[in-house]
Amino acid sequence: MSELLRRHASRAVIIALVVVLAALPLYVGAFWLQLGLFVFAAAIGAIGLNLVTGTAGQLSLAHAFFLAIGAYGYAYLSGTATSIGGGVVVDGRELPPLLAAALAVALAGLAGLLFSPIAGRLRGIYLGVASLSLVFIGQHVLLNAKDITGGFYGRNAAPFQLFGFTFTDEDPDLTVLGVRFGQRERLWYLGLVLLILCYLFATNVLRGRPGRALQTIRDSEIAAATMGVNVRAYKAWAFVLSSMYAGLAGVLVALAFQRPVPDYFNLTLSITYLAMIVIGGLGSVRGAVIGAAFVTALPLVLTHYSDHLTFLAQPGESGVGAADFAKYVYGGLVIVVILVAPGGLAGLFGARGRQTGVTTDQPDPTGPSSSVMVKEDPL
Amino acid sequence: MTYFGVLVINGVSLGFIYGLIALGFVVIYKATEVVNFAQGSMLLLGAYIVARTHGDLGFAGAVLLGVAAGAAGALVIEFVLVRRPRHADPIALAILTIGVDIVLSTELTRRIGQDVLSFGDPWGNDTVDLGPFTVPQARMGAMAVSVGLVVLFFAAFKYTSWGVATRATAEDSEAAALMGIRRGRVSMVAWIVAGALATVAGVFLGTAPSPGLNNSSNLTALNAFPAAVVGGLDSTGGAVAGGVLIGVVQSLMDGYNDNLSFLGSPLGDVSAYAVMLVVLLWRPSGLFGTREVVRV
Amino acid sequence: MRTRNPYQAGTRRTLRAALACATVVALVAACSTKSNGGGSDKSNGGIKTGPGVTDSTITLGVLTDLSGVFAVLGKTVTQGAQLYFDKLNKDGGICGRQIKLLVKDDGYDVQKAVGLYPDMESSVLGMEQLLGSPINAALKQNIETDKMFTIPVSWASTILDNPNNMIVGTTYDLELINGISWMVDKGMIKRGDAVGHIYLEGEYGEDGYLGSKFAAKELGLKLVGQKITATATDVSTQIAALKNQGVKAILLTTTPTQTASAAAVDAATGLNVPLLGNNPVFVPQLLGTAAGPALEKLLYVAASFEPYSGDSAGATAARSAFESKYPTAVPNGGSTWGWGGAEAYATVLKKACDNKDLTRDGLQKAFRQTTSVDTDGILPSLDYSNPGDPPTREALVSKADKSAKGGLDVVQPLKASDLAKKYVAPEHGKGG
Repeated sequence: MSELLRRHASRAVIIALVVVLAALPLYVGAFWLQLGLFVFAAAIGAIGLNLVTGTAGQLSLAHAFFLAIGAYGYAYLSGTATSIGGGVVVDGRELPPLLAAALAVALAGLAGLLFSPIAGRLRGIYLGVASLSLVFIGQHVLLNAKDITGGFYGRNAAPFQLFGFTFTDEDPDLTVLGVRFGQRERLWYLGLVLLILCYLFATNVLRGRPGRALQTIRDSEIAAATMGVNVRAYKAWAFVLSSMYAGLAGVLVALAFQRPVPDYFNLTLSITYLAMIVIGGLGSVRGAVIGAAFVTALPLVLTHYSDHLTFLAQPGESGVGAADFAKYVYGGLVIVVILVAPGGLAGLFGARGRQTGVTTDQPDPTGPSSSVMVKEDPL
Repeated sequence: MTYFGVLVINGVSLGFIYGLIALGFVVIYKATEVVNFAQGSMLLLGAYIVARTHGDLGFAGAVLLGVAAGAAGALVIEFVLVRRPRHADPIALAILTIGVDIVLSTELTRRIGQDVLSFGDPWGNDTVDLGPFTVPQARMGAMAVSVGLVVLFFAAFKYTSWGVATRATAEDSEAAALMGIRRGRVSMVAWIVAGALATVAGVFLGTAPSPGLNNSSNLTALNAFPAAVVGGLDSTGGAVAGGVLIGVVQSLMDGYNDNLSFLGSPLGDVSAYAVMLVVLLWRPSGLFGTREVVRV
Repeated sequence: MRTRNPYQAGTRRTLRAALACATVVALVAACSTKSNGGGSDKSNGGIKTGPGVTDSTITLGVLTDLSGVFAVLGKTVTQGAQLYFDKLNKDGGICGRQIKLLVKDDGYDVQKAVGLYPDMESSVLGMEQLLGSPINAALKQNIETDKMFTIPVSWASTILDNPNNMIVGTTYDLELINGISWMVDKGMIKRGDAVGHIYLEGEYGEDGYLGSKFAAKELGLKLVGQKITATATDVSTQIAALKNQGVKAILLTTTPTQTASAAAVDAATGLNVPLLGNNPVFVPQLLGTAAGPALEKLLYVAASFEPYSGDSAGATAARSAFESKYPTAVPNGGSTWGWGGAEAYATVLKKACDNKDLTRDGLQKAFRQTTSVDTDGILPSLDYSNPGDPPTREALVSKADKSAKGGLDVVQPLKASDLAKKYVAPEHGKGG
C-alpha cells in the first residue's frame, strides 16, 4: 500500500519537474537555456558513466574520449566539406542529421567495444589508469586528424533537423505564446526528450537482469562468475552502453556549442563526469542527473550572480573568485560524499527507494554505510 | 649515433624524475592499494613551499622544510580523509584523492599565477660532460637520488619492521591484521614517505634544464602514471624502471618525430600512454608488478 | 500493515509540494512571458543605438581568464583597458556616453565561456576582450551570427577570416618574419644556414610557423621545425634535435616556461645560438629563474607593441596610470597592450558616433572605415580597411634585460621589413 503510494508520489514529482522544464523556455533567457542544454548533455553522459562506474564498479576516466567521438562523429557525418580558416579544409559526409547522430552514437559504442578487451583483462584501479590513456590518445587524434576534426580550430556542427524541422533560429519561424523560439529554445526540447528517454532506458536496464548482474560484478567478480554471470561479456556490454550514452551526450554538446573544439574533451572533462556521479550518488540514475545538474550549473550560476555574492572576489580583484570557489565546492563535495554520505545528493534529498533484488542488507540511511560503493536504488 | 645517444641520455635523465614521482604512487599503493591521484598536486605543494622559502632559508633549509611540509600534508590527507571510511574499496578512495587533487591544485594554481617557481638550487645551469654528452648537474643529482632511494626502499621493505608489515599487508591485509600488524601505521608511514618523495621529485622536475615549475606542472607529473603502471603499481624498482622506459620512449619519439610524421606530432606525451596500453594488454599488472591470482 | 511508515508522511508532503509547484508554474505562466531579448536597435536623439547602449552609457563585454592558467595576462589586459576607459570617461566618454565594461571570468574553460556568452550577448554592444584561442574558436559561430565586434587576445593571422575580429597589432607570422629579417641584417644568420623553430601545437604555434616557413623560403634558410605540447617544461630533446641539424638560431613560439628552458639548454649544451620569440614567449618573472643569465644573453622578442618599459607617450601614460592605481602589482606588457587595445576600440566607437550609428552594424561599418588608429606610439598605426589582412606589418625587436622595467628593452624600433611587406596573409581577401 505505502509502496504503491510512494511510487505514485515519486512519479508525481518527476512529472511535475518535467512540466516545469517543458514550460521554462517561455520564461527564461538565453543564459539559462544554454545552461540547460549543458545540463541535459551532462546528465545523459553521467547516466552512462554511472552504468559502468557506479553500477558495475569499473573506474573509467575515458568518458571525455567517448564524448569526443560522439561530437566529432556527428560533425563529420552531417558536415559538408568546407574551408575553416588556417588553410584547413574539413571533409564531411553530408548525411541527414538524424542519421548522422545515430551513427555517431553507434560509433562511440563501437569504440567502447574495441576498448572492452582491455577493460576485460584489467582489474580495479589498473582499468582506471588504462582508461586515462584513451583521453590522451583522443586528444592527439583530434588535433592531428585535421580533415575530420578541423584540428585545433574545431569545426562547425550542422544544425539538427528532424523531418524537415530545423533546430535553428529560423526555417520555419516559430512563435509560441508570444515567445519566439530560436535555436536554444528548440534544442532545449530536444535535450529534454532525449534525457527522459535515456533516463527511462537506464532505469529499466538496471531494474532487470543486466542491472543485477552488474551489481554482482561490482561486489565480487568471482562471486558473479560462480553464480553464472558471464563477467567478461557483461563488462564489455557495460562499456559499450556507457560509451553510447557518452556519444549521445557528445552529439548534444556539439549542437549546444555549435562548434566543438578539441580543448574541451580533456582529462578535466572526464574528472568532472566522475565528480558528477559521485556527488549525485554512485549507482543511482537519479543521482547521476542531480550530480550532472549540480556540477554543470554551479560555476556558471556563481559567475552569473557574482556581482551579488560579496564574499567572492570581483573580476580583477585578487582573492577567491567564483570559478575557484566552484571548484573548491565540487572538489570538497567529492571528498565529503565519499566520507560521510555515500548515497550522494540523491541519497540526501530523495526518499530512499526500493532496494534491488540482490541487496539484502538495509544500510542505515543516516550514517556512513559499510561500503562506500553504496547499494543504491537504480531510480 | 651521437644524436641517438643524446636522446637516450635526455630520456634517461628525465625518466629518473618520472621514476621519483612514480615511487610515490607505488609506496602508497603497496601499503594501502590506493592510487593517489593527488600526487601531482602534492608535488606542486612541496615545490611551492621550497620556492617560497629558499630566499630566507637557503636551498638546503628550504628543501628540508618542503619535504617536512609535503610529508605533513600527506599525513593530513591520510589521517583526516583516506583513513576514515575503513572498509571503503580502493576505487572509492582513488576518487576521493581526485577530490583532494581538485581542491589542492585549484588553490596552488591560484597562488602560483604566472610565477615560475625556482628553487635557488646550487646546480643552476651547470652541466657535467660524459664523453660526448652533456648532462645538467641537477639531473645527475636526480639520478643519484632515485637510485639511492630504490636501494633504500629495497632495504627498508626487506629489513625494517614497517617494510615487513607493508609487504604482509600488501600480501593479505586481513591475515596481516590478525597477526597484529597495525594497518593504520603502515598506511600512515607510506603516505608520509610519498609526501616527502613528491617534494623531492617536484624540486628535480623544476631544476635544470627546466627553469622551474609553473601552474600546470602537475600535468607533467601525470606522465608518471604510465611510468608507475608500466613498471607495476606494487614494484618500487619497477617504478624507476618504468620511469626510465617512458622517459626514453618520449625522448626518442620526439627526437625522431620527423621520420614518424604519419603519426602526427608532437608524439612525446601520447607515446607514454600508448606504451602503457600496450604493456597492459601484454601484462595486466605491469612489467614487474605482482600478478593477481584469482582464486574462487 | 505499515501505516505508520515515516516515509509515507514525507511522501504526501512531497506530493503536495509537487502539486503546489506545478500550480505556481501555471499561475506564472498566465501572467508573464519573457521579452524577446534586449538586442533590438532603437533610435535615440538622432543616433541609432544597439544593444548595451543607453542615453548615458555604452556597455562592452570582457570575457577573459581571471582564475585559470592565463589569469595574470587576463587580469593585466583588463586592468589596462579599464584604466584607459577611466581616463576617457573623465574626458567625457564617447557620444556623451560613459564606457562601461561588463567583465566575466571563464577561467579559460571552453564550456564556461560558451555558457557565459549568452549572459552578456544581449547587454553589450561588442566584446572589448575575448581571451583564449580555444574559446575564440568555440565562439566563432556565435560571434558571426550576432555580429559581435570583438578584440581577441590573440595575434593569429588565421582568425582574420572572421570579419568581426579586430586584431590589435601585427600577427605572429609577421612578428617572426620581421624578426628573422632583423637577424639577417644583424648578421646573426645568413643564406644557407639552418634555423630551428620550436612551436606549440595549436593556433599560436602554427601561425608562427607559417611566418618562419615563408621567411626561410625567401631568405634561403633551412628550417627545422619541432612541435611541442603546452604542458612540457623541458625542451632539451627538441634542442638536441636542432643541435643535431646544426642550427644557427632558434625561433620560439612557446610558453614562457619553455622559453626559459630553451635558453638554459641552449647555453648549457654549448650551442649558444640566439633565440627569437613571438610576443607571448616572455614574462618578466623568467629573469628571476636559473635561466635568467642565459635569457639575458640569448633571447630576443619580436612584437608589434611596446613593452611595459616603452618610452612612447602612450606607453608612458599607460605605465603611470597603472603604477598609481596598482602600486604593488608586478607589471607586465599586458596592461600596456590592454590600454592600446582599448584605445583602438574607442577609435572605432568614435567613428561610429560620427556616423550616428551605435549599432552592431554601425560598428562593423565604422571598423572598415578606420584606416589609422593612433595609440601614441604603443602600437604602429593600425589600418582595418582591408578584410583578411593584418592591420599593420610592423614589429619591433626587444632584448631580455633585467634592468628594464618589465624585463624587456627595445633594440630595434617598430618597422616593417621588405619581406614583411611582401608577405601575403593566409586569409587575404576573406573576412569581408
